[in-house]
Parts: sequence; C-alpha cells; structure tokens
Amino acid sequence: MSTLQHTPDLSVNVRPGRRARYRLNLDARSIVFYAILIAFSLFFLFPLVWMAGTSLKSIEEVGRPQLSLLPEVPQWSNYGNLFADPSFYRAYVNSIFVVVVTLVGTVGSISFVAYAFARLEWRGRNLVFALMLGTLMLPAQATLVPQYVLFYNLGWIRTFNPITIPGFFAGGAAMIFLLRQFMVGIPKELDEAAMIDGANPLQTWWYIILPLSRPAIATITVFLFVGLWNNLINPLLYLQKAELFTMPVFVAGKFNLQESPIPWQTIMAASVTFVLPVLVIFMFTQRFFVQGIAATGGKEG
Amino acid sequence: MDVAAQARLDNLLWAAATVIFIAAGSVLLGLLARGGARLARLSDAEGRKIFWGVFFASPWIIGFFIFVVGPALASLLYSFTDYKLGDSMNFVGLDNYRELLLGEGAHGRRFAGAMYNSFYYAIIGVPLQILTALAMALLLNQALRGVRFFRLIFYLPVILAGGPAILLAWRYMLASNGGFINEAMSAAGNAFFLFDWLKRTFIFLVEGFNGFYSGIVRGDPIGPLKYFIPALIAVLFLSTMLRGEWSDSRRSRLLRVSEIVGAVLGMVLVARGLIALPIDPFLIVGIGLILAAGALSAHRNASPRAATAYLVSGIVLSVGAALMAIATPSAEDGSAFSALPYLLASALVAAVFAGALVASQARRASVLLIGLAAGSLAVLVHLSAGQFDQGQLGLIFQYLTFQSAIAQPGDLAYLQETFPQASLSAFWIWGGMIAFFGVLIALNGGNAKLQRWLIVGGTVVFALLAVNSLLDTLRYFSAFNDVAAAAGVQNYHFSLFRQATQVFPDSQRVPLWMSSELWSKPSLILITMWSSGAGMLIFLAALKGIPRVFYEAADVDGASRVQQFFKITLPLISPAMFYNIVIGVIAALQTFESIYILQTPTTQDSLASAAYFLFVRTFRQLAIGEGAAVSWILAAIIVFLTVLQFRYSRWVNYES
Amino acid sequence: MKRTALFASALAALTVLVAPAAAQDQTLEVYITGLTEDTLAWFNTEAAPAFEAAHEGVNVEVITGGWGDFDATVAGWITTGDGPEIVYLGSEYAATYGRLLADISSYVTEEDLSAFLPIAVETASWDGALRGFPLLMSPRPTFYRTDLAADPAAVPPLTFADALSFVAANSNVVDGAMTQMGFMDIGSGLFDAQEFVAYIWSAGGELYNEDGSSAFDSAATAEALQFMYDRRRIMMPNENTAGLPPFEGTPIASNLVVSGIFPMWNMPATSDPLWENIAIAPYPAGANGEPVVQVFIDWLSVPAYVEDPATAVEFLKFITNQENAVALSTVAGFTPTRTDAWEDLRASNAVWDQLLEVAVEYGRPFSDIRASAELRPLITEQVTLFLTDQQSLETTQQNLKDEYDAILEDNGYLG
Repeated sequence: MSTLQHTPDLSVNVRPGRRARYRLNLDARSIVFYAILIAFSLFFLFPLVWMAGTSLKSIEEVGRPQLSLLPEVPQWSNYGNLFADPSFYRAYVNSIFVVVVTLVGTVGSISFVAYAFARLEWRGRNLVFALMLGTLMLPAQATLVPQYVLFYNLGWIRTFNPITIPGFFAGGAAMIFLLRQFMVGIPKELDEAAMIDGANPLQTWWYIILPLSRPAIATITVFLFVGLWNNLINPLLYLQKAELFTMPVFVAGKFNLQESPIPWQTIMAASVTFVLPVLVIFMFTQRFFVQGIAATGGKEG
Repeated sequence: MDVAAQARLDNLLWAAATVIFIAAGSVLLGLLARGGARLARLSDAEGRKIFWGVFFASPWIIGFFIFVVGPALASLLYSFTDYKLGDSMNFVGLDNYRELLLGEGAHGRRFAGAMYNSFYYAIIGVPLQILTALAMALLLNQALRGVRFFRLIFYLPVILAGGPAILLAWRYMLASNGGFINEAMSAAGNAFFLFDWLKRTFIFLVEGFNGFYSGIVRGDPIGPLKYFIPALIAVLFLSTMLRGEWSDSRRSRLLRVSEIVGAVLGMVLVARGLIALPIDPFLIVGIGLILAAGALSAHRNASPRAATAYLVSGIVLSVGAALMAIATPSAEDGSAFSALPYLLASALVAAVFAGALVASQARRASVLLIGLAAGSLAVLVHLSAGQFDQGQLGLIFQYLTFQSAIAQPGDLAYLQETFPQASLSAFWIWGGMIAFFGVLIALNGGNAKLQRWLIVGGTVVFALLAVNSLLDTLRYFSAFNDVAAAAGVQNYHFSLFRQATQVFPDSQRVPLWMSSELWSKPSLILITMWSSGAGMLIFLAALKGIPRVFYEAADVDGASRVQQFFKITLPLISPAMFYNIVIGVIAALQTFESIYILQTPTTQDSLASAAYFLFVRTFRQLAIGEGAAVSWILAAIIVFLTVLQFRYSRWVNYES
Repeated sequence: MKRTALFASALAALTVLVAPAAAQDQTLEVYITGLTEDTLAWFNTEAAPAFEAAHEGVNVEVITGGWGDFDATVAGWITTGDGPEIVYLGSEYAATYGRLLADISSYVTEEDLSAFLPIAVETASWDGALRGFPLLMSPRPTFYRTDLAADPAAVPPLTFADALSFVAANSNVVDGAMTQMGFMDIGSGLFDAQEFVAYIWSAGGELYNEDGSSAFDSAATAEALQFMYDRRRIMMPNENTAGLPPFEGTPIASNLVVSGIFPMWNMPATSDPLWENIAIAPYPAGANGEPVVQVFIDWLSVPAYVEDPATAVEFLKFITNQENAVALSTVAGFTPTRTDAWEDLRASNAVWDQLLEVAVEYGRPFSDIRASAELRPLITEQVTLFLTDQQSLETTQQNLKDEYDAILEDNGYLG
C-alpha cells in the first residue's frame, strides 16, 4: 500500500532548529492530537472493519450478541459460496459493464463539450454555459418521473439503456464545469499554433487539448466512477429483472429476502466484494478527489 | 441463452446508435446555427466559429432538451393532473399542490410528516454534521506529520456512504438487540459506572427530545404553542435592533436578515395562502405589500435592478392570482365562489406596480408609498369590519390584554376542536408582516426617534403575545388534563414525551435505534455525521486560506487560542460554513439511499424525507401526478436555497 | 497512437463482456416473486425443462424479483403491454389487477379445477371469472408452546379476553426490558397490518360495507384495535420498553416466546422433536365473531396483454398438476393448493396434518384487499399512532375510514 509511508511517525515531528527548546512541549501537544486523530479514524474505519469481520463469521455467530470483531474461526466458505453463486458473478459483471459503458460515454462527451466552453469562442456560448450551470440547481427528482415515462415509451424498461445512455449526452454539469476550468488554463498559444498549421478544431481537440487535460479527465473519471458504482436508485427503478441487476441492487436484494435469521455473513461478504474496487481506486487516486472537491466546491459525483 | 449477455449486447448497440445520433445531431445543429448566422448577416469567419462551437456543445444541448427540458415540462404538466399509471389522466388544477401543501388527507399528511422529518435533519442533523466536519478540519489543519493520511481516512466514508453495502453494515451494527453498538455501550456501562450513567443520560435526552418533537408535529391540538415560537423569534429580532448605534454595516446586515425573513414569509404565504380554497383576496394584497416594501427599500438603497425585480414579480403575482381566480371552478356544494374580489385585489396590486414601473425614478418612491398606504388601508378596513369581537383582530386584542382564549375550559370536544380553531390561526402571518414593515420603515426612514419607537413598540407587543401564548399553552394542557381525567379518557398529548421523561432509564436500557420512532432519526444523523468528510475538505480549504499574519498579530496582542478561534478563524471561514449549511439542508431534503436501506415498517414514516416520500408515492403507489407536484415543490425549495447561497455567500465573511 | 490503442482495448473489453446471443423460439417468460433460491432452482432445473420437453419449440424463462418493488414492476408491464406471459401474484392482488388480467375461463374445464381448494380458486378469480391458477398456500395459524405456558390448560385461547389473560400470564418485563413474550407477531414486533385485518374478521367484521365503502368505523374494528392495544400494553408497559434479548434460530424455539404467528419458513423443521410441544390454533375471536386462520395463497396469472394465452394456460395447468404440486411443496415449504396433493403429506407428517386441518376448518384467504399498496402504509401509520398512545380510538377509526374511502375513490372502487 502506497499510503503506509504516510503513517505518522512521532519521533520526527519536531521542526528543525526549535528542537532543543520546545521538544517536550510540542511532543505532549502532538501526542494529544494524534490520540484524537486516531480516535476519529477508528470511528470512520470501524464500519468497514466490522463488515470485513462479519463476512468471515459463521451463521450461528452472527445471530449472537455482537461484541467481538473477529470470527472465532474464519469462515472462508462464505466467500466460496458467494463466488459459486452465478447471480453474484452476473451482478458483478453487469456492474462493471454498466460502469465502463457509462464512463466511456460520459467522459468522452464531457471532454467534447467542455472544449466548446473552454477553448472556442462563439456567439451564444455564454448563454448556453449559463443554462448548463443552471441545471445544477434543478434537483434530479424534478425530472425523474417523466424520464421514467420517456424510457417507458422508448421500451427501455428492463434494459441497461436508462442507466448508460443518458451519460452519452454529457451528463453532469458539475463535471463539465470542472473540466472546462482546467481547459481554460491551458496556454492559448498551443491551439493557435495548431490552427496556423491548418488543424481544424476537431483535430486540435484530439491532438492537443485531450492529451494535456489528462489530469482533469482522470479527476472526473474517478468521481463519476464512485457515483456510478454506488448508484442504487436508477438500477432499482429501471432494471426490474434479476438477470440485469447490478451489485448495489444485488446487495440490497440479499438483505430484502426476509430470511430469518438474516444471513448477515453472506450480505457482508457480498458487501466487501462490492466495496473493494472503490477502496482500491480511492487509495490510488485520492489526490484527484481532493482536487475535485476544491474545484467544484463539494458537489461530488 | 444468457439474458444478461443479450441485454449487454443490446445496450452496446444502443450506445453505438446513440453515438451516431449525437454525431449526426451535432453536425446538423452546427449547420443550423451557421445558417442562422448567415441569416443574421454575420461574417463567414463568425459563422464558422459558431458552427464549431455549437458542434462541440451539442451533445449537451441535445441531452438538455431530451432529458431536462422535455421531462421538466412534462412533469410540470403531470403535476396538474391526477395521472396514475394504468389510469386515464384528468386535469385537476392545483388539487395536488393543495393536498400536499395544506396537508390534506392521508398523502398530504404523510408529505407534511416527511417535511417535518427533513426539518429535523436540517436543524439537528446539519449542525452536528458541520461540527464534526469542522472538528476534523481543525485537527487536520495542525502542522503534524501524517495529516494527509488521516485526511484520506476521514474522507473515506464519503465515497462509501453512497452505496448500499456500508449502510447495511450500519444497520447490522445498529441492531437494538445484540447489535455491536448496544453491546459495546452495555459492556462499557457494566465496566465503569460513569459510562453507565452517561448511556442512561443519553437515552433519556434522545427519547425526551424526540418524544417532544413527535408530539409537536403529530398535529396534537397544541393551540398557541405553534405561535409562541414565531413570537419569540420576533422579540429576539426586534430587541437586537434596539441595541446600539446604526453603523452602515449593521444596517445592511439587518436589512438582509429582514429580506430573508420576508422571502421565507412570502414563499409560505404564496404556497399556503393562495392555494387554500377559498383564498382570502386580502392575502394577495398582503403579499403585494411585502413586495412593495421590498421595492421601496431597494429603491432607497439605490439598487434600481432589485427594485425592478420586485416590481416585476409583483405584477407576475397579481396576474397569476387573477388567472387562478378565473380558472378556479365554483364549488359544487353551493358555497359560491366569486372571482370578483380576487380580480379587484389583483388589479389593485398590479396597478401600483405597473405605475411604479413606468414612473420616472424620482416619482417611483411616491407611487410606491401611495400604493403601500392604499393597500394597508384596505387590509385594515377588511380586518376591522366586524372582527373586533371574534375575528383575528379581536384575538390579537385578547392576547395583548392577557384575556385567555380558554376562559372557559368547557368539555373535551371544545378543547379538541373548537379551541384549536379559535386560537390565532393566521396570527403569525400578520404578526410577521407587521414586524417586517416595522423593520423596513425603521431602516429606511431618516427619523431616528420614530425608528426607536417602532422597535420598542414592536418588541413590547411581541413580548406580550409570546408571554400570553405560553401561559395559554400551559393553561390549555392543565385544562385538557383535568377534563380528560374527569371524563376517564386517555390523554393523548405528548404521550411519548411523557413516557420517556417519567422515569430515568434503567441501567439495563439500551438505545432502540431502528426499532423505535424515537430513535430512527438520530440513527440516520449518526450516519450522516460519519460521512461528513466532504464538508471537512471545504473547511480545510477555507482554513488554509487564512493568512498566518492574523494569528501572529493576535499572538503579539496576547489573545488566547480560544479567542483567536472565535475572533479570527470562525469569521473568516464563515462563507464555507454558510455553504456547508445550505448544501446540508438541500441534502436533508434529498436523503434517499440511507432511508431506503435502513427503514423498517415501523420506522418508515418517521424516517421518510421529502425525496423518499416522492419515491414511495410515484414508484410504489404509481401516483405520477402527485409525485410530479412533490418534485416541483422540492425544486422550488432547492432553487430558493441555492439563490440564498449565491446571494449571501459574500455577506457572511463581510462581517469581519 | 496510445489513445487509439486505449479506445480499442476498451472496445475489446466490452465485447468480451458480451457473450454471443442465440436465436430463439417462442419464449414463455414466467415472473416469480419473492421465493427462496431453492424454489427458483426447482423451477429452472426441473419444471422448465420438463415443460419444454413436452412442448416443442417453447422456451420457458424464469425471472424473479422481490415484493418490495412488485407494484411498480407489474404495473409497468401492464401499462406498457410488454412483460412476462405469466406473473406471480400475492394473495390480495385480484382486486388490484383483476381487470388487467386475461379471463382464462374458456381454456379451463370444471375438471381442471375440481381438485383445488375452493378458497384458492376464489382467490385467483375476479369479477366471476378465473384469472389464474393458485400455486401455493400458506396457512398462518397461531403457534403455542404448551411446555412453556404458565397454564397449559389455557391453550389455545379462542376469545380476545382469554388471549389477553394468556399473554398476561406468560409475559415478563425486568428492568425495562422484556424477558419473555406471551405473543409475537409475524414481523417479530407487536403489530402487523395483515394481522389487524385478521382480527377484524375474527371479531365478526369486514373491510368493506355493502356499497363498497370502508368499514373501518365498525364495532368489530374497534374491538380488534382495543385487543391489539391491550395486548401490547401487557407486554410493553411503556413505549420505551426494550425488546427481548437476541436469540439464535426461530423465535418459537428460543424459549423466550410462548406464542406467535409465524410463516412455516420461520418455524423449526417439521422433523424437529420440539413440535411435540407446539400447538396449532386459529386466532382468537371477538364477542360476535368466530376464530379465523389467515391463509395466504400465491397464484400465477396471465396478464391481459398476452395475445394468445393458450400456451401460458398450458403451463399453469402443468405447474399446478398433482405431481408438481407435491414436488413444489417439498422444496418451498408451502402447502399445495390441491387437496389431492395432500394425502401423502398428511399421512406422513403429523404437523402438516394438523396445519391443514386447522386451515380447512377456520381458513379464510387473504384476498380482495383493494388498493393494498396504499392501504398498508395507512394502517401502519394510523394503528401505530393508536397503539403508541398518540391518538384516540375514535380518531384512529375515523381517519382510517375517511382516508381509505378517499383512496378507494381515487382508485375507482367507489362511485
């Protein structure tokens, strides 16, 4: 894990030059701070650890009063059973499929549209841009119902289309804004030079702007990924068919089966496999999240 | 044959078709735009620029029309119908909005319940969430090694909380019987008596507060208590104004506060007053008065654009009211509905605003003043006629002179039905308006003495009202208790509160979390506190933006850490604070996933947010028309909050 | 051209995710709601292949979902006219979807139906015509632990008054938490909407008046509500009383619950020796009523949008025939709805024998519940307010009646 190197190291936490005078004082203070930081961290990490611990418990253990974090005997068969379940495998593949298709469409079209707002000068641009920012204010719920009816009439209920296709139309004004802000910062001379060489805007976009925007595109990709991977309501409304279920619906559905006693160990095992990709991606891309929040003011995916 | 594989293939084909559709549409739109440019006689170079611009922007433009404009218009249309999936669609006018905003019938009441839940999340949850975020940000702002690592951990819940997996883990941990949290609490309590005492105090406070809250929102006929709180706010507001001299910044701050109060009041008035049947035509005049006062204030503050905005919205209001009056069918039961008074009232309001709009800048103020006077006169005359005995004016008079509305306790039926009706129903609306005018006149007139008298008078009046309202509430409860006891009937007021506060919890007691309506909302708030990392990053950015010199100067002046926090840090991060509050309130209205995962049949109603209600109504009960109306009410509130955020984000840090 | 390569590999990855699709014959889509995985497996591996073998060119495809979003899903198909050929419906749905289901009477002879329990056929009928075939049945009696009961002679209590004394004698609260419950309802709580309806029936009342309006203002409803209230207060003196400590396995086997209403899947296996101490009885009755056992009958219907129901009806007959009924009952843990599939079951299994006897004698199907998607939350809300002391009995009844009438009118059940 690349993050391990950031683990706090108490011994080196003294500013050079002040070591002799403030050593004791500073150490006491920083120990208190570290203690609080660690206490907070426990609060934030605990549900995750709990999830992992439960996923290895036996069904009898899960039904008992819960105080121990770890299983008496790790039940790896919980995962074995899960992996043997074709509907789990199917939901996982569905999730990956939906996320990949939507990401390709969304990131592609957003990079296209952001270019129009950032690099091209045309009459009406400000108006269209203002309209686009205005859609940030409109709550998703306002259009949920007629969109449902629209997809009905297109025959898209019980297909993946309502989940993936809208993304192709540059869905997500916040993300367009984020990428546009980045593209504005690319030096003007670059595309002017390309224009002089006879490149049209399409070529300039493809050969100049896209390669240079890679960091911002990575940022919006991870944001969109987390939002899409976690998305429960759209698949829930539109898929309506066990064969098409994505992981969020599958996990929620495992719980809704109303079995008694509730098979928490299976649910948590499925949850662990569901959370894992997000965790891994987050570990490696966390700087993009910080940048993204700073740029959009918190409207994450 | 694999269904899923087939569906994936279909989806890819659709995706390919979509790409082709968008590409063709982009070229087409671009060509159209260039054609338009030619028609407008723009140069060829300009036309080419427009072509490329529109070409690149079109994926969004096409999507905007298909997925935003079209559905938004359709949903607006549905909201005026009784459309139910599988049934025919009939136009029902404002019925959906009326049912929802006035809390009529089962669905209206459940919507009101959802709004109260959202309100709870906003007043209890959002502050707690912001405190957590601020605490995290302050911790991470220390010059310590490894804060980046901790930042990663603190932010982690945000990306997980959107998905069902971690919410299920929470649900499991929160199980009231044998869940980890309760077991840990009990174990800690058994190990050391102080923890046990803490746990029991916690249970006592949460159950007491939530019992009280559900008592208030259950629509128990609690009579004057509803009006006590607005009156108290008015007292506080006016008495802050009594204090100190009028510096410019203070003046503008107060103006803005009254603007927000006025805007909220106006929205509530429009939403509830105009939609009720029969409408009181004088409400139209009343709203007109508020808008006129706003226009006057803007005019005096030399902001003609704001003044014009007020005038235009006044005209829109009156035209809308007139149209609604015409469109409203006369009632079937013979209670004749006449559009005439509404038309007259609308015409009066429209005339004043139109007059002010066309008048020269110099005359604008006098036109508005005349309008204000005429409107106030109309309201006064309307209020006075025959109302001193039993009308609202009479009630206000009784309140001011401490003549209790329950002079005669009467019987149970009187206390349950007649008394709530006889208490000051529209009181706070009128009271708020009076307060508002007082503020405006006080702030805009040059006469310092008059200002003082108006404020002192207003404070006294509201204090009297608040005191009597409180007294009346107490008298009401004791009267109700006595009568109920005499009649041998169960007393249903605040029963959850009474049960929760009767005895201090036993040491065996544990929080009931998701199995009790007293605990369901606190459980949800616990989870939002856990995932408040996004707010933390905003605070952190704001904290990093504070120049070090401020603290160094304060150190030189000998200010303590605590003083530095309150005098420097807090004012300077107030824009971030305000932003987080607004975002938090919007999120409170839209909470969905967590409720969907955590709810049980017993706690569903006590958890439901506005968005969850929308989901149930639309997708479980298939009432598309009403669902659309809910979504537009939600949209209106969110747009209002966003506008508030844009308008006042500067003002907050201006205070420093 | 790194980016082109990237795009190409993304495309390639997508194609890998998509398996080749084969052409197909006539497909019969069967939508099954809320059954266990074992049962679904039986449908997929036993029933479907057998039917396909007997019917050349027909491809049976079993799809599934939960009850949570059942209404939205089914109404969606029905309004768009595009959905499965066979839809699984719960007991109460004939009133909700009846007019949108195909009348299959003409495909069915008297003989086809002769073996079914009459109440089951009634559940699957609407407006005098058959709309589907009953598949499974689940009598939901009250179970009593005779070995735990304070006074075994008091089992089973058959009136509300006796039931209250039974619960009082068998419930304990220590330190603000329950240690033994005299009664537990199906939601492991103290109140359930279906149970409330059952008590209205056993108090001699009905849900609807002659004219179709709501009868929630009846004396029977008041009696049922008061019974549930008193029972709750006996076990839970205060709303903040904590529940039972956690237990493993089924509630009835926990030794903490003396009686309760449970579905068979939440009971010990019928081979469990504990059954010697479990009595099966109907719900207690009010002053003017008779004891009742609620019977839930799940059925398969053919929606009206299906152009030619012949094959679908063939499948219904096939899946409910005697052989399959027996097979299904062994995997699903429900009872078949055909009496001719009971013989072996009753002969070989004493528990089932008793269960069916009670069901035949006292059984009443949970059917003809109008606008159930809106009625259920209304009952939950209003009855909870009453049970938790936040609303009087009169107000509760009045609200239930007024609002259910409004709902019935909204949904076209009232003129």
